[in-house]
Amino acid sequence: MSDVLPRIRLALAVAVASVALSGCGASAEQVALNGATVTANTTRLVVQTAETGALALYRAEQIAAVDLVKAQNGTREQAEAAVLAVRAKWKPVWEAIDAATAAHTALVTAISAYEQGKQAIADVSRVALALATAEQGAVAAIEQAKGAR
Amino acid sequence: MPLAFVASLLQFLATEAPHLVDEVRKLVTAWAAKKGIPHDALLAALGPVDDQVKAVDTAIDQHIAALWGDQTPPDGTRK
Repeated sequence: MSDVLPRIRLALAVAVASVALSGCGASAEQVALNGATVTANTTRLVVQTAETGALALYRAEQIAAVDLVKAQNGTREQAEAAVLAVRAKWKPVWEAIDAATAAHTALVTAISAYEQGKQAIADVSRVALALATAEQGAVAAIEQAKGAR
Repeated sequence: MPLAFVASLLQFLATEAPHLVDEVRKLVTAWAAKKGIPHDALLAALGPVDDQVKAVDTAIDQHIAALWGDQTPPDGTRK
């Protein structure tokens, strides 16, 4: 998956946050809210797609590791050690995806709170920026795990 | 089609046919939108990634057991 889109989204989130944090009028608030909503919707989709692909690779790598041990007449213990190495390598990916999922939930909650007048737009923009950063972290973690094959 | 069934189906596919998961997720997302199911409710039903990782790990453990034979006796201790 391309890691260009998350970078663009992060740049947009930074720009929207700058507008929101600069103490702005009603129309600028609407721009910031729209930006946060777009970030919430698109980021979740990107993370979900990345998660599906990562799970498929995770499974394929473990099967390949087990089959290699079997082909070399290895023991069950060697096979178990081989899959443990794959699982350890992918652990940061699941942590990064969990962080992105939590950041998404936080943004949805923040947008809802803003709409009810319980939260300032600047806070919503900060949460949107955190989500864009978490998304980039998840994509980077997947790329690193893929690169370490 | 209850959400719990959808979650079970996706977990099954994650271990048995991972190449289908992406397409089925798209179908489920479209179905949820038609039914007016909130996106957050759908995500909650699909389960956290940890559950899906565990499902993959369980399938791999079973693959190892199938290749080397299950050496776990009924009392649960590995020989």
